[in-house]
Amino acid sequence: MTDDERDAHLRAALRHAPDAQLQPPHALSELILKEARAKARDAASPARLPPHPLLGIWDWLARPSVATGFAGVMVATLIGLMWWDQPMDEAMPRPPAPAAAPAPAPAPVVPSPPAAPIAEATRPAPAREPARTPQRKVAPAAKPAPAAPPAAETAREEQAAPVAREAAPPVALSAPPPAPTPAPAADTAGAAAMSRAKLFDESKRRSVGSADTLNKAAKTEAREAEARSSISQVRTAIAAEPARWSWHRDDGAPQAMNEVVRGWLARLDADAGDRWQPVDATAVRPGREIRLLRDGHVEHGFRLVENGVLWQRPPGHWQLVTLPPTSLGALESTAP
Amino acid sequence: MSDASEPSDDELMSAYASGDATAFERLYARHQAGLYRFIRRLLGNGLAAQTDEVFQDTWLKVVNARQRWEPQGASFRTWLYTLANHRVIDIWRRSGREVSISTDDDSPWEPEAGAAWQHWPAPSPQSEDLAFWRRAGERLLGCLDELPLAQRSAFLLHHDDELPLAEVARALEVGFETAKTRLRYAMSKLRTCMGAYLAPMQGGSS
Repeated sequence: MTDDERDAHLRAALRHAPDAQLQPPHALSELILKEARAKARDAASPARLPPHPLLGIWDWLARPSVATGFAGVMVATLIGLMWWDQPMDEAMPRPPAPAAAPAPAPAPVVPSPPAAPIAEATRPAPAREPARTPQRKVAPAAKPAPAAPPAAETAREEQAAPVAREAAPPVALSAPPPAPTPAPAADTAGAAAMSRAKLFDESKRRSVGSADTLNKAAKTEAREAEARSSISQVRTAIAAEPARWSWHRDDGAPQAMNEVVRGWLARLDADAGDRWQPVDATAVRPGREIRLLRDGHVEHGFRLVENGVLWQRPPGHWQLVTLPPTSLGALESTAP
Repeated sequence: MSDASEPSDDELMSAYASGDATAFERLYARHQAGLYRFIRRLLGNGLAAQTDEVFQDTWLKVVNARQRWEPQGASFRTWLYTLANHRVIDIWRRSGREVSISTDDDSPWEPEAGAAWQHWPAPSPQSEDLAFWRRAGERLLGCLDELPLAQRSAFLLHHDDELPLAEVARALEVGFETAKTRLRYAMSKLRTCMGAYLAPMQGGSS
């Protein structure tokens, strides 16, 4: 008997085994077929059509990673809108416009051109520069102020000073505001509003303080200007009452006021202008002197010195105007 | 298994993947009995209660994998039995039984001299007594329970479900020679087992 014959016997035994006609339970078959039919319906339904592109975008946005990133962008945009029109950095210099309102008030009080130190103290132009650019904030402090500027430069500054004073904000006279700590990025709008209110109060306080400082400076300047009255005032007084005025030279006899003296005073007025500077009486050097008398009393004395003209106003107030040699020579040659 | 007018298993499966439910019903009708019997015999008496579960899982895998299934290489029938075999292996492992995946670790079988199987009569009309074959069948199922799972599956696929040896190897996902060796070992053991059972009848009939 071969193996094939024996294998045929085994297959015959399998066919006659008790489980040869075994069938799955009917309920189980129904369950499987029901599931298969349902899946077949899903496969044949329109749901298998490619989804709408907008639905695809929506599904993409619904992914956690994409949704997180999108939310972050939205929050950043919201914060950006909340900070819109606000200073980017609290440390940046504040624009001077809000504090400029009270500035023009003291400016008209100044009646006469100030002396150089006062002009330096009140000149706002250098202080305005750091307000424009923070990089040059320390420039005015680093640049030494000239102790005695040249005469021509002083004249130009005095002519431009009123205009500059009117245009300059008082806040610029004071030191630049200290740089506040930059607000953290996570600050809320409320914190930003509080910070802005604080800065506004500080600016207002500085404005008031600056106005007071400017008023004091203007008063001081006015008093000094009175003391440094120009020759034109003397000429006006002489022209108003010429009969009461007389003059004499050194120890000469008094003479009636005449056109020679008045012409000489006019030349001196033109050359000196408002550049008279107070000098110490102990530093006054001797020289040729012309005195003006009013009702017989000495009111003014003019002494020609090597570098200019000394002007004496009783009792012992001396002022000096430095003149170039050409002007000084002309005054000497035309002196009465 | 099917005549030329009937669509093949692969065609029915493709039709079902396109949404044709009747194609699946025809597939199911073709293979449900053979698959159920294969699972039942592969599980053996000890795990027979799991037959329905494995059967259902196997078909549901077919249903769920309809879109991915492509008629490449193995036929649908081979793929169906591969799914069932995987599920049975899972059940075996879950039950703590040893599943030998490698080539049979049993010692090579040597035929005993004068073994009863050597005197088996050839099938003949005279010997087709129903009771005889039913007892032989019962005995064979008992002998199958004593086979390792790998040999049992090779025997059932080849002799019960009539898969060619190459398809058996593909269904078991082993090499052809491995499948052939497993089948040879299974046959040797079954012959011995069945011969001992059939010896009295053989003696009675002779």
